[in-house]
Amino acid sequence: MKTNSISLSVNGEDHTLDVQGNETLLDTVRHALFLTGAKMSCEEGRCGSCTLLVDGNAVASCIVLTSDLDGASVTTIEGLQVGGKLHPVQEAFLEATGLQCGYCTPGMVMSCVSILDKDPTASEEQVRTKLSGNICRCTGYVKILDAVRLVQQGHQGHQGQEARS
Amino acid sequence: MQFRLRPFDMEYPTTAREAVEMRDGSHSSCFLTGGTHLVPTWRTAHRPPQLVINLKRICMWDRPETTAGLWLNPVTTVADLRGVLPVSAAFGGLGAALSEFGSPLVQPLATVAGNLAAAQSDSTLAAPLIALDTRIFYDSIVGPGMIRADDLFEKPGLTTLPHGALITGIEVPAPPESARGEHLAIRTGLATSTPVVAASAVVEIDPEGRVTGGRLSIAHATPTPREVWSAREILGSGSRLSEIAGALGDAAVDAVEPDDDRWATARYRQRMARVVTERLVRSISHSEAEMGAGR
Repeated sequence: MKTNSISLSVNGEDHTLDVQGNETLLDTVRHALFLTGAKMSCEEGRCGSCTLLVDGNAVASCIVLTSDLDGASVTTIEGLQVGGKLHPVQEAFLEATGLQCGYCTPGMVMSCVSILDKDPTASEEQVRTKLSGNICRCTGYVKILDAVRLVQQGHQGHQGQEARS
Repeated sequence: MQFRLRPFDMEYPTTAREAVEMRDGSHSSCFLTGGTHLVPTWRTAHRPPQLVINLKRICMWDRPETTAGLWLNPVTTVADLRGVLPVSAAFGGLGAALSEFGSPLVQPLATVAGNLAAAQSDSTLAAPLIALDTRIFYDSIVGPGMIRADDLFEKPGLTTLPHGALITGIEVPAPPESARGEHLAIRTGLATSTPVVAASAVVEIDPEGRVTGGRLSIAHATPTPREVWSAREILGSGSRLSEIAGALGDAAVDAVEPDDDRWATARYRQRMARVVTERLVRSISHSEAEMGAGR
């Protein structure tokens, strides 16, 4: 089978990859780049455990073909921390205990990052709608919504401090 | 890996004509736009074709335009269309169907053309596009052509497009200013589950509140989405919406031919065809009353 050569930025690092047509983004990050945070589950784009950011949009990486992503920028859960410091959404998940078994957590975190990047003041109803592609079979949704609220409160607090200074 | 996709070759044509010729030259090939339907299908039930012709690098297709109506290219995604859909009462049904399409993780990937070409009874966008009298333009090895959305579906999984035809554009005509549109689906389980029945309507209403025309379409309770043809006469009768809700419900029941399946019995689906149609009419009637009050 033929391969396609593509350039991909993953967590800010440029890669040139030879990929087969049948390789999904989830295959690439887990098995070629060894970034195993994104989880494989339904493999049909229904559960969200494989959620990654592609050019800032949260997508189900199990149904994205890598050869389509020439020139794209991908962020995985491993790319959220900066200098060993967790992303505010990750901190909030810890603080609110927004996880139980943890299998859906990387996908949930990535979706929450995307939601809050696009609309930091999204209402709870909007967050619920936008998180509807991520399924938690432990049904721990309340704590996840608490985590989003914590981030929003922190953001507002930060904006308030900036306004005062 | 549980279900790694079986190998296939991927080609990226740069023009629609090149894509059509590639397809014609291969016995086992298919077009790919979003892949949200095809990739899971290839993982489980079916082997992928030997050659997948990916349309994403055809650069002559522009982003959707909003002129008198909507012109969508084959790689217009659900998220793209949500971003440009005119805020218009007539497109209300399409807007509702787009918002409930798949999940937010799928909407940036799934294409409108792919959803139609899959020709499934649960094609979310088919019913509102039929109600809006959408036209599908295609190119094939024997030349270009056009087909109305209502004539697109032959049977589940099969369109009436010529073999190897490529959808090159989707035109959604602008309905009259007096038109109101709505889309409703009834589900028995989760909000994300497949509906038992769905209906869309575009209804033209004159200043006196009388219905002067329109279309009703139905999906999920029929093998493929379709227009309820007998509704045309009812919608052209000059009656008030509230007076024809029952007749439209009867027309919907007559138009469906459901089978029993694991989600619902045929009898239940038939009853729900009436329920969803009557709710749809009430919803349009309600929004028209609100708009009338605001005028």
